[in-house]
Amino acid sequence: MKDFVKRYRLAVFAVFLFLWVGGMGIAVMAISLRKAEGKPPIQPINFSHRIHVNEQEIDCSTCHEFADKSPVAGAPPLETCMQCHEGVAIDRPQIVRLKKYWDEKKPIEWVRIYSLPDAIYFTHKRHVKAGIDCSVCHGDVANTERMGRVRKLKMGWCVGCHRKKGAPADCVTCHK
Amino acid sequence: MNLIGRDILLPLPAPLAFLKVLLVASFLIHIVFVNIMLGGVFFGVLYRIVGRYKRDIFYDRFAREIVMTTTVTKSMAVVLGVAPLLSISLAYTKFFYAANGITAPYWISVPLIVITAFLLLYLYKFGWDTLGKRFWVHLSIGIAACTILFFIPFIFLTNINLMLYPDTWEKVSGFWSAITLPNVLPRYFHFITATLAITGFFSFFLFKYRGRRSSLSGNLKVSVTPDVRFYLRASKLGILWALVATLAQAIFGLINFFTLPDVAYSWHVTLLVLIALVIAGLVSFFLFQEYHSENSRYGLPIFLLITVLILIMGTMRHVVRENALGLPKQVLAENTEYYKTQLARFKEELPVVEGRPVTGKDLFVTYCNTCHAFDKKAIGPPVSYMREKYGTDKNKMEEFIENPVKVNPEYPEMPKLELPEEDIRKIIEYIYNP
Repeated sequence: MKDFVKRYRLAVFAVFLFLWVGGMGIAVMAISLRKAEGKPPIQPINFSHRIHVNEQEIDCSTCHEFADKSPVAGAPPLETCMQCHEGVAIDRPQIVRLKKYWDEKKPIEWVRIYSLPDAIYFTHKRHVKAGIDCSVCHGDVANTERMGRVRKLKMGWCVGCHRKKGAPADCVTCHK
Repeated sequence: MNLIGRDILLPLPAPLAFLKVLLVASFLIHIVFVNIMLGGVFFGVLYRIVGRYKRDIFYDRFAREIVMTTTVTKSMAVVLGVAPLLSISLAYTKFFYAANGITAPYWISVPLIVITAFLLLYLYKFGWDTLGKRFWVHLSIGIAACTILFFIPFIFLTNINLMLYPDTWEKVSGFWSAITLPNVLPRYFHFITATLAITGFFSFFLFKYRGRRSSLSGNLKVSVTPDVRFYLRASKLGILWALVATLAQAIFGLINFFTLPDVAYSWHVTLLVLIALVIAGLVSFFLFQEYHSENSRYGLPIFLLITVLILIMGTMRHVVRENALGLPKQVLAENTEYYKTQLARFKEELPVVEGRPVTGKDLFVTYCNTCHAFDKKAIGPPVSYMREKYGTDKNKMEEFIENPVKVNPEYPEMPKLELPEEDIRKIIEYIYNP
């Protein structure tokens, strides 16, 4: 046995190294996927939630006006922005860009951050009505400059909360 | 992002890209020496203890020879640290100084702490023989130096990490709270493991080289002298450290990667990590063979591979920094642009007030009145005396004011005023017609 180990020492170590590097490589890829998902995308305009929610204390529903009425919360149309930015901070570089969209009558193509597969029936309305705070799913929006995805929206996470709150947790609640 | 503010409106002394290349390159050279110095002190303390308890003269000599190099490597580390420090101050001014400000008391005390540690290190090194009899005294000095030296990178690292995440500046309240940011401790352990690995490599190359020299200078007939045997064993110990630390580094590197904030990530990082992993695997393979081979053959590939590995790690550091500062730099640029437009508008709208033309009286009060009064003697003669002396010859008076000489023993010599001709004429007009 001892001779065997000595004779094939290098081969044994090479196999160990291969597994070691391979295992680490897989771990690296897994972490990378997670990070790529969590990394905030670059939006056409650097909209700061922090300035609007934290400093200006604007309520979420002012812009995301369908959150308590429909399945989707809705991204605000340019009109909503221009209600204030007709006159507010008009010399700021980002607002100059906003004004350009407005003048050219082009919509801003925001990069979508949260989405669910088609097989899932999810509605904001129910959750807002149940008094779930926006930050439960969307994180500390008030202190976030550039939004990223803070929740993975995995099934176990949904079900866990449903059970805890006593909400229905049978399949057809979400899979319709 | 509130605290970013605007950039300083001063030109850089060199193109930004050049400063960044200089920063990455000079930092790598600096940090390798820091590693060797830190690891050298650590080995010097560790093997002093091991030597005593194992009662093996080998360890004591190993510790001693390593410690002897540390004062040289520490000087190299300090001198070579100037270039990266200046480059980062120029290339990332706002971010770097903001972080420095938040950790100020610790950041400013770095030189003091460093000097203390270096003095202790000198004492440890040069007291090896004289203080050596008082083992515990000597050892405590070594441990103190080692502890302080291991704390210093912590300050640098906290600072440099804090610099990358401006949205934490409002929440962080100083050095100790900046340490609790997610990536700081993993990064520190990643650094410490690298220190052990690089010092392992250094010991390997150092003792291999010394062994070769001693075998060449010694008697060729006696091929295995005690010296040669020591150096062989010492270089093997170096390899062992390098191998174990390199393998462990994969784990610490992974933890570091895991705790890296998502904003600092891009696929470039994954690519670099994977390449680094493969190279680390190759290095380990060669180290393993070197460890078991009778005569050293793998020095060159090991050296080349770790050089490439260090370059990759340095590049990765830069990529992470650029990723993390992506949005903050944009905010900084916009704030600066905004400031510039505001400034331009301010200047445009500022009502222009025409200045009153400078009169002879103004000039007289400014340049002459300190020494000359109208009717009484002061430091110089009174104006009435001048009028009397020159009469109507204003040119003569002008000549005198342009080139004053000592005339009157009562008064000191008048200094030359270096005024334009036009002003001198105005003064003379005023003297005659106040």
